[in-house]
Amino acid sequence: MHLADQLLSAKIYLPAAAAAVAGLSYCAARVRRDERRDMEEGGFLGGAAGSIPLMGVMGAFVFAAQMVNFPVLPGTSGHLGGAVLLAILFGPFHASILMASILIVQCLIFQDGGLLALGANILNMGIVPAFVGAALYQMLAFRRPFGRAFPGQQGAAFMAAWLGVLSGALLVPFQVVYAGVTSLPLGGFLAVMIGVHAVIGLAEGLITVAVLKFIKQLYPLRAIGEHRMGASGAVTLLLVVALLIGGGLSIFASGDPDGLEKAVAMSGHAGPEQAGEADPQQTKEPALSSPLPDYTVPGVGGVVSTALAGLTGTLGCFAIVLLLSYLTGRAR
Amino acid sequence: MKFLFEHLSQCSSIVHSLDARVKVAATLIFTVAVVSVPSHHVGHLFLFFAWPAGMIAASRLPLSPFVWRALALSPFILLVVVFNPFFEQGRVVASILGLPVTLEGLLTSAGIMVKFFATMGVMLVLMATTPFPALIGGIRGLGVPAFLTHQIAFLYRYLFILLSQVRTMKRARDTRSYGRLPARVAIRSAASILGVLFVRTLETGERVELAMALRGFDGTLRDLETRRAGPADGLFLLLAVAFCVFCWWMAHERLVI
Repeated sequence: MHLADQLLSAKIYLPAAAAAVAGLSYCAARVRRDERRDMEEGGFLGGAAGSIPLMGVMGAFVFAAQMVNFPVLPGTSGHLGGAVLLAILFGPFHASILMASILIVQCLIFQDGGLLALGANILNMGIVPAFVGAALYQMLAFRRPFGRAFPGQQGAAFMAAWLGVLSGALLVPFQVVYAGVTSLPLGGFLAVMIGVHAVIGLAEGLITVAVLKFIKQLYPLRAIGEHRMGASGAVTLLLVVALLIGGGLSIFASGDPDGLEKAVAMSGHAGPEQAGEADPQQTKEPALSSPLPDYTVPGVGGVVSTALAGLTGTLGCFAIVLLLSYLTGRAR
Repeated sequence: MKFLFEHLSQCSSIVHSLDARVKVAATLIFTVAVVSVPSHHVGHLFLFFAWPAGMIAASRLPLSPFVWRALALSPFILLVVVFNPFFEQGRVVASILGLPVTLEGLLTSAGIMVKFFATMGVMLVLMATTPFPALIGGIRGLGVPAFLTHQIAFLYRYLFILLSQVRTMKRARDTRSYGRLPARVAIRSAASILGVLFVRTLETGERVELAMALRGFDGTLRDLETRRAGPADGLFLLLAVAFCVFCWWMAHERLVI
């Protein structure tokens, strides 16, 4: 699902690149901070995830691992994507940087995707799966909102890998449709991507679980097995994911004003909708159902305003979900 | 790895000797120019082929590897190109299985393909004329931060070792199973291969890390490359920009040639 340059236009590759740069810089800062803390605590190789050479070699591992094919359903074969496996083992920050380096090398050597689409590809196949996967795994494997038995560590890894891959793939149709180079309908495109990546994600989930199990068997003494973060870490992580999805998707959603709105705008009449303020809290599911409501934050123009509205809505939802999960968690 | 252009990058020519930063910048500018022309200006998009063609000629490399590599299309772009003609509004010129195909849709798809080959061409030229370490130095020089370029440098350095390990293990599996395993076993064996690979990688990585720490690695990779951009590089960049601006203008405004 490497996006190609030709399918995107400046209104997608510029914001996507900006988002990728911001995300990677944040990840790099976090990695550096963690490393410094590890050094101060005295462990030279602080945990399995340590420093530049080790992580670089790990990148080569994922690259090589993608060459191993295995059957998924009769007639189809899959291979490891790697983002979620890395996120489970080393945490989302390392995983994002690793995936970015892999995608850059793939872009250069194999011409998968293109230079301009790199930002979007890093988001779709690196940052988003890594963070969604890590957040899900932290939630399901350690916080256990559904009780002790379900879904268990392996189930958690499976779901994290599956949904991580799917979440990245879901972004692709929005990006392509918003770029406006082609005329593919959003719904059909989404359906195809979900269908295909449900299967690919299945493969990713199966192989991720199998590899994790193998590593644990072979390496019982090591501190690897999973990257574990404290409660505040997991919450920050979910917040970042929520922001990414809320802000990101709502930008894509704001793309094409429908004919009527455009006509109204061009003829210079203020539409009735502009009179009342759009309620930001309405935007909890940006863009998934309706292609374009007027969700904007008054006083700020254009894309920024829509993104802000999306962010506010997502934050509201996020707070509610978090509160609920804590309440139910305590009750148990 | 047949389609690595690494071996071509060891040749020497005017293009090979240019500064990597300039080549990367030119590739980027070219790609932006091509992509920002509307896709249905198909005929005019062919103008852009002059640049990769000229570069291949100037680099004195054979043409055939470029052509073969470019023909190995990505499935994703094929999906889009095949389905777009059915969905774009416009004049209906044919119908397949009762679905209307529009002229505009066909033009857009054709334009996307032309763009694909043009941008693919410059990327391949970049890879075929720049050794990978120089390329990493180039993108570092263009402002990509060190945490990413170091990562890429290590990835590339160890990639081929791990790939050969993977190949050995796959061959061992296939010779023992005649390439036919029941699905359950196949997944388990793939997992073992990956698990072994992971553990080996981890140990290699730690060894490398310790060795580098002992030699005083402080987080920055240094190389002995002291090359500065010369007048030839400036001229090249100027030429590239002029070409891109000219072609973009011709293609965007659909001027008659």
